[in-house]
Amino acid sequence: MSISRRNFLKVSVATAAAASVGISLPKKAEAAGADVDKWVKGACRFCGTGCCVYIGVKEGKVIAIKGNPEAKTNFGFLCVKGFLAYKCMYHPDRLKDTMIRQKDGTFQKVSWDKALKHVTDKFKSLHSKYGKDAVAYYGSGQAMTEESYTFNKLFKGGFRSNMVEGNPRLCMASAVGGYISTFGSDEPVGSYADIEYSKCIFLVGSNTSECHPIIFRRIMRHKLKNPDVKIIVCEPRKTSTAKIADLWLPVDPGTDLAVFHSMAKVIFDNNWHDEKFMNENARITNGKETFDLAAYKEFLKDFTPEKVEKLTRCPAENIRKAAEWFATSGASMSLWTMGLNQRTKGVWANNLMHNLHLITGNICKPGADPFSLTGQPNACGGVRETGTLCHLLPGTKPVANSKWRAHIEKEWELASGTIDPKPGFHTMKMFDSLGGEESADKPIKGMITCTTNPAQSLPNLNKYIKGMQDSFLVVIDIFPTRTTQLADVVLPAAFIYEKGGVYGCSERRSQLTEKCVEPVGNAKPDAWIAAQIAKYMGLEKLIPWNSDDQMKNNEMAWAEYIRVTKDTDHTLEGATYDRLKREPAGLQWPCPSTDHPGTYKRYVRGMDPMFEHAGFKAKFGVTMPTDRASYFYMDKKGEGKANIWLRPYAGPAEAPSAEYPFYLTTGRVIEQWHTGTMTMRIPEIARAHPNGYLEIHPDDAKKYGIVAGDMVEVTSIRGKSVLPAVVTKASLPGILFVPMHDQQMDRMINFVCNDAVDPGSKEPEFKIAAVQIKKISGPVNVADKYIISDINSSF
Amino acid sequence: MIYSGSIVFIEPDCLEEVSEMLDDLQGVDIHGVSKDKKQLVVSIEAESDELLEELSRKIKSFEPVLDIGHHVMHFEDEVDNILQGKKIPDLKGFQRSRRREKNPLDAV
Ligand code: SF4
Repeated sequence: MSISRRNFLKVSVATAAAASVGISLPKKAEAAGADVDKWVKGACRFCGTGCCVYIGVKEGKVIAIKGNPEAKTNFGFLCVKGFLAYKCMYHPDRLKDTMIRQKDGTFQKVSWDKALKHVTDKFKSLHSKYGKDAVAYYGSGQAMTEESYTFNKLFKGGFRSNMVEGNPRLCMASAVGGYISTFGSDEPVGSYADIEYSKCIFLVGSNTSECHPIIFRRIMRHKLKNPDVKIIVCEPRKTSTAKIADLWLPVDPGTDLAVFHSMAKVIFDNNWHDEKFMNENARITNGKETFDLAAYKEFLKDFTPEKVEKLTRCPAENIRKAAEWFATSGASMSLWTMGLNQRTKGVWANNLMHNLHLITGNICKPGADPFSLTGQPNACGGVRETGTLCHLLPGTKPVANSKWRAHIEKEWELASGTIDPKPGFHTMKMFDSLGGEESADKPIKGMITCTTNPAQSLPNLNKYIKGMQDSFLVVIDIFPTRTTQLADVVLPAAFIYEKGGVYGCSERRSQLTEKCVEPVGNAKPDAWIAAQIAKYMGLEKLIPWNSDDQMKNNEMAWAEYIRVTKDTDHTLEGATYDRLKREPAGLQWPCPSTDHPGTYKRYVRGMDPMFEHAGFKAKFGVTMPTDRASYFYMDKKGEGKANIWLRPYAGPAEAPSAEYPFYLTTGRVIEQWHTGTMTMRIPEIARAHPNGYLEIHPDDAKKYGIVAGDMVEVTSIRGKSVLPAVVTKASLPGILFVPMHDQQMDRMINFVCNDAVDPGSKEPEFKIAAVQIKKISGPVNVADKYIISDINSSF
Repeated sequence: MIYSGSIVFIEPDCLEEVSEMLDDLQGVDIHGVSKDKKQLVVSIEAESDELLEELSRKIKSFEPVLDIGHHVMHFEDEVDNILQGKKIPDLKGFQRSRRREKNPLDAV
């Protein structure tokens, strides 16, 4: 490379970085263009933060990425994952051809026509032999909104089947249940912008520094600028997030419900609650009856910090201090992720977080908000909002709601009664019901998965592998995975920058990514695949966006979606494709018209457009009194109130016993992402945390004669896993931690995890299992950075 | 070669000290400084993104450095090498695993 080009590139990237923070450089590159033909606006593919990026394209290749300085999510900065997307795109392991498994077990490359014919002939045959619910769809919070919407419409409107699920069931369903049961409507009240207004930040069950690095960065910078801001971390493990914490609430896994109740008790005992706000905006309830404040206080009387310390191992003094800071800071914001959700009491845990905000009035004002962060980039926009789950329809309204069903049927031009009023099976039940044609007890005989890897990511895997193996399994993905190893047909998918579409991140913000380059090999966009399946099954009228112009297809699907949901509280009617192309930072719903700027905070008069939305009020029979500054208008009782829930204490489904004396908890580490399908192929990400490993406290390690690197067998009543030990004080004694990204069979921790589900959200208790451990051997040279490269490798 | 355009956020009154430290790092060039002298604009040139990451970590480990934020990354050479089959993302380097480094929290 010539010196002048090197210098040009250096000055060019520096100029762009300087411009992003408003610094002018003495020596400017001719253009801060980093030698690209064009910059294309888009979103990052790798987490629910929703960082906005520009993709640099040159000669049909992605050769640069930069953060969008105008973005309201990341202000121009990206974490390492965001930059390394090109390694996924151009990795030699990318699936490039359609493949059908042959009798000898190997895959044969076939044309798209042959693959689609094979898939749809089989689906037709299964439908005719076993009924409309014999084929299921299992989607993903990584699919584009248009893709989820298309598959949802194809199944619910075309096949008349509600056997539609997605992996957000495994990570976010309890947050959805929490929002709906407390406020009557899914998704947060506020926005990331509350971080910079907050005086106290309560991080619960979220290793923000590892899982949402850009959010963590915002919190860290806010704290650095304002040292008086208090940061409280409530987590079983002392994670890297604790670096910036003023107070750590260590708790045994699954016992934090007692801590939240205890904080509420301390708040009431000290009169730190906001009774006026509570009276106007909330009701105290157990779901059957409503109660007065005295009854709530009576309910809490046993949750003294001292008693709760005995139950949870969280020091009483820390509970008191946390309650004080939370209630008296003036603006407290809570942020949480899977630690609160992946539990058999996940909905309750979410409710109790909302309780703390409602009793202190820490909601509906700047800096005060209970905020659930999503793990996947489009769990909110793609799956929750389009209703691509077994019990929902677009607009996050239940399939069992006859009025909404009739509305959707009309919009989709279907005969009345087409959509089945009965919800399909939730994820765990769906996989439990999946099997071969010879299995009379397995009603689901075929499945299509889109951008997800259930053969690695489901808990208690031993129970579900056979069903996937025996059924007719069609997998749409960009890489070979554990699930392609069980598939009958593999369809190669395009990467986000090869197809475009909309992602909706944790803060109700929808952002459009435009197609940047052509897909590799014969890969195709998932929405195109869905539309072709519809066409081959004679349903092209239902899904007419089946041309070869993918941005046009996307736009048609999006336009229909925002029309169908225009009168809901989630309205994106004003977020047309034209507008999303122009808007530098996307748009937050509700956004009811093309001149509306999007909504920073819901339920607040003057901020939330639903107060004035005639169509919404008429459709949902909502009336709003003019004297209320805030009004929870989706309240089922029509009083505009949120529910403060009296949820009794309940621990995890499995507690340690003499035989299984340890708690096992699982999670993500910074560079890895979910099952590692993509991130494990990026060498520097793989190197940082290459294998699954077992974190164990030094006291426990000593007791079992374990030193760093020793191979340890972890066993629950469901299965076992063998991992190298990492001895660290990051966890409390008695608590083990294993990350979840490793694809190597022995180290796949999901064989050990619990598949017991929350009765409300049906989300499984990934986070907590009772286990025993045994040292197997000293350090072994384990197969580092194991990935599945060969499509013909067996499970 | 990979090029990143990044901002180094530093403690007040540490500009000289940090500039000297950055000058000693091969591949790191300072291009400008904010008016309040708390942000430095740098370019980082590295053979690969693993080395770029290592340099970033090193910069972040300097006492007066609060943070480093990457804004843009240019990786044309890397893409070409991968597409031409000259570079298959390697599986070596496990020994530098961060998890084998001392956990800073152990001291807490
Ligand atoms: S924080 Fe998430 S969305 Fe932002 S760059 Fe990193 S991975 Fe991408």
